[in-house]
Amino acid sequence: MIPTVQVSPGVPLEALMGEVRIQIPRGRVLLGGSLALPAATLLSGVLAASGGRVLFVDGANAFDPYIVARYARRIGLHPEDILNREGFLLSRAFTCHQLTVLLEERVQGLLEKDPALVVVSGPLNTFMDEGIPWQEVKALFKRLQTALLRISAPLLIAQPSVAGARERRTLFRELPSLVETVALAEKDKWGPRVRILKPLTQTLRPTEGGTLPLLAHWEETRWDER
Amino acid sequence: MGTVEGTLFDIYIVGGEARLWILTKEGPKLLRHAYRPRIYLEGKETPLRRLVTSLKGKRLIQGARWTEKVEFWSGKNIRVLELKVSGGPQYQKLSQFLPEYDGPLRIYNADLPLPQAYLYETGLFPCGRIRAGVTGDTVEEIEAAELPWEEFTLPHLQVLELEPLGDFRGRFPGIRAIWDGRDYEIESERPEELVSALNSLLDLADPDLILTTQGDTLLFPWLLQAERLARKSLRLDRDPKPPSRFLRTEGRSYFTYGQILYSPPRYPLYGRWHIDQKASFMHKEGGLEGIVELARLSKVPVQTSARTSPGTAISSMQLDAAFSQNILVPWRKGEPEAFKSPWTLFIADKGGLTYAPQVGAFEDVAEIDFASMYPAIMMAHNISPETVLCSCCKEDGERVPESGYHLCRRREGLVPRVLAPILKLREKYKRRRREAKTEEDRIRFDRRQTALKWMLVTCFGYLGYRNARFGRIEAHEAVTAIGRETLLQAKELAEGKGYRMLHALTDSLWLQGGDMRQEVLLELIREIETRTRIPMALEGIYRWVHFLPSKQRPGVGVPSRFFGLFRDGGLKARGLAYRRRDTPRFIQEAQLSVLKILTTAKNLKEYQDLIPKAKEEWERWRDELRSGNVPCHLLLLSRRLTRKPSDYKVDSRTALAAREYERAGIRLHPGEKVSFLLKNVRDPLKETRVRAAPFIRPEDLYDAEAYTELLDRAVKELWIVMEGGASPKKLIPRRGVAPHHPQDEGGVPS
Amino acid sequence: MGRTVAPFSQVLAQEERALNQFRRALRKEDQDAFDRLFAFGKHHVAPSVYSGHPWPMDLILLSALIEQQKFIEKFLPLRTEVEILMNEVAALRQEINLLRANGNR
Repeated sequence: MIPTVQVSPGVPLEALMGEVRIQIPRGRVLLGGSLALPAATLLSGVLAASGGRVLFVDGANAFDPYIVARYARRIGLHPEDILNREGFLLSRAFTCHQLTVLLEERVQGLLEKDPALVVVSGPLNTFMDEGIPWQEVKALFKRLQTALLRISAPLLIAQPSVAGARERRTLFRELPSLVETVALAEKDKWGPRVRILKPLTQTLRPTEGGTLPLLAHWEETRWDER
Repeated sequence: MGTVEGTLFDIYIVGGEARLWILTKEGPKLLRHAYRPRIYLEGKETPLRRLVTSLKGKRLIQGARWTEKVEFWSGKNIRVLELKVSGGPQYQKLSQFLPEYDGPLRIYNADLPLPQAYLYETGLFPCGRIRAGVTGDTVEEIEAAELPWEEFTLPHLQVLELEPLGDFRGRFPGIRAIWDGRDYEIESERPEELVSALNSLLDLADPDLILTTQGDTLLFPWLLQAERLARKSLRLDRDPKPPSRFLRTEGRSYFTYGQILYSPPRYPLYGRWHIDQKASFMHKEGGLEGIVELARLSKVPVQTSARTSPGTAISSMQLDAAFSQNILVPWRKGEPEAFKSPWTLFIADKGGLTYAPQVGAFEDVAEIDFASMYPAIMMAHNISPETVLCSCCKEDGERVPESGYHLCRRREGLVPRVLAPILKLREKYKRRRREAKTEEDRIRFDRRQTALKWMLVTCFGYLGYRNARFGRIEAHEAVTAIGRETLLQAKELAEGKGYRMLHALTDSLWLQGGDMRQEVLLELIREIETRTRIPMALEGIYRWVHFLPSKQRPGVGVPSRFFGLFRDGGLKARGLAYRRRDTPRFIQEAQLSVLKILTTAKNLKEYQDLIPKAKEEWERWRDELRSGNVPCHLLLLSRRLTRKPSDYKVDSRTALAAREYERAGIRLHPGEKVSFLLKNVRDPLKETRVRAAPFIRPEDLYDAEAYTELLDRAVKELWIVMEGGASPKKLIPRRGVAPHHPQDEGGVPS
Repeated sequence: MGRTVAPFSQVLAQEERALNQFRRALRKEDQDAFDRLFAFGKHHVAPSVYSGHPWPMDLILLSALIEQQKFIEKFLPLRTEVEILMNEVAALRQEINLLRANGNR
């Protein structure tokens, strides 16, 4: 039996890939929604399989090798051929300090040698840790923003909704301003799909009647699923 | 200059001094010792100089100088600027705003618990004997008069016990106090009367230790409220001018090992100890002996040791070791994972090997266990955050199986260095426990070794804990990888000698079928030890053992549900109802009493023959249940809340009980336990299905049917794997072994 | 921290769920057999995790095959015994027939 690449049973992911992939060369992409993490995982596997270099910074602790393995089988490769490919690298961050250091130093260092797609999964997940004082979190988040903006390579940020204290959740509002494209990967009754909320062509100014309705939608959907 | 000798009882930092309480022959004595904490900065000179000027201007620091210290990850000497911080509050302030400079600057030693830092620097430790030269109460010089590893006896303490009196529905309970063998009851509607009554008792007793039941959760919050209402201070502290407290009145819920737990707020005292026996994990595990052992070794003051996890103790010992070697403590947590291929992640991200056992009952089974496997691996293979993937041994370092990480050959790691003496001391305590002549001694050494056991257990977890200072995920992965390799080597050696592995669990193996003479098994163990370099012991030889199936999948074995009888008569059980804390006491006792009958069986044939007698016993317990005469407190079920009571969507029994607490105005947090009685589980009126423990009224009846179901389920565990053997055909023993010979079972789900 | 890769028991459950429709359409007795095969997968979870093999379904099927193989091997020697018994029965029958024939005579 050859399995399709699925996020969960009955949710093939390939459908999601095309659209996100198209957006990446157009600039930084923020992917939200309940399928953001599996979509980012699969996308990094797809790109690595086609010879692209990928740096996966796993802040959500969610890289699922089985997603890539199923994809590999589908295209007739051994999973190791993709997962162990030179230029496909991963590092997990378990605290917001680690995540910040990773993006400030390590990623920059690697990018200087070779360009690559940078995927950051759940950058805000680690910032929800109540064990770290809010003052410190704010300072670190500033550094994170700077580090993300300094990345000149294509960037995909996958940020699904996570639970957290109210003040910490305000950080979610900051993410869209870091990117050119905001997209949502979700499952609705027709299956998984991606909706582009902040396209490249649309310039965003706060004066344009407040928040864009679609962006507001992004914020609303942040909490819909765990 | 005078001299003070005694035992260091309490230590805390106030302003620019450490306050030390010393128990001397003449009684408790307060000493003051000037203390300026130090922070270290690494970076370019010009911006550093500017920073120093500004910090001096704000009087946060008294001075700064350049010095050489060791950088933890590389082991190399670096030049750093040492800031002499003005005092405790200034240190806290700096640790809040310095991090903003982190990045261009490297910050070290900026977020340490100060009482501990003081102890690392002076070499003193809690409950250790000291000698000080003093002028008045000011310390001129001070030193430890013994080593933490030395044999110690608990100092003689004046203990005042406090516990709530009566029920606590909304109103304050009143206090029962026990001092000097006498009971005192303090009860009054008027707060000022309560405060004076307690104060006179405190003056009379001048206790060293206030040992409470529910002090953190109930008594102290209430006492402090009474203090406010009475506008009169309670003299709970021994320090006449205690530092002001910032009390958190809410505890916190946190996740650990897939479980949500609740930690109530803490109410530490100054110059006295307050320990809430209910809230202290260590007190429950190791008593005061265990807490003091932990405090001495780790330099975490006693009250903190009582309420923090053994992980904090281990972490503190690592800090201490770092201090003593001039190693700088990096600001904040851990080293990020090195970039690796996702394939390596897939290969390395595994835990210990947990087999599913062959379900069934077996005779003549040996259990052999690696002793403290993970700590022993860390020692034998020099695993520590800075030794895994070190920069010096890329070529010739020891290779970790599976992932291929390399381990340092040149530098002894911080973690192995900390572990070695703990392992040694624990062996000593275990030996003392075996050789103990009195029951008192046996308990004492058992408590001490238990405290150390918890430190060893958490040490491994700490390597992989996200907030651990000296944590690193690759070190954690290396330990489990070597653990898997070690277990498989043991399996292969055993199988090579004709044993059959029935079950294996991370560091233990259950063997059957080969030579079951003790000396032959010990020979096997010696061979395994030589091969793996990890110490191993024969846990015992079972006359018989039952491996129980999963409740969800009847055919599949679960790793930790088994019970068996050793040849020496000892019983070992895991996962049985009587071992679970959430089982009502009555059910626990019932299961145990039925089991007692069965444990007279020398083999499975006898076991089978005893079942009818066991069933009679079972029937007796059922009758008692049905009579309605079982006291309700023996029937309480306890469950941990996984969320806030209002967040429960389904009306589970736990949710219903939690709501009853809430209705009475008692706030519950996720991770707290509720206990309740099953009243009438099928009642259409949800409110009367269960009754939360504090609200049980004398006229409340229990649901005999529901409890009979619980009882039946518990008792049936004892022969569920022999059930198939009930039909006469299968009762015929094959190849000399009764009903479920492994050959018949073959792991085939029935 | 740690445990990013889904535990094998979870992966196994995923694989099982992915076959929900297949299972649903099976006859009841076949569903039971299907469930038992997956139970074999659970039984060998430790070797599966250790293997580092990225296709879980292979491991589940192999686990089931191992158990079936053991079952077959256990009963294989019986075949010889059955053959012997059958021969004996045939011989006895012959004898009986012979005796009957003699008796009739």
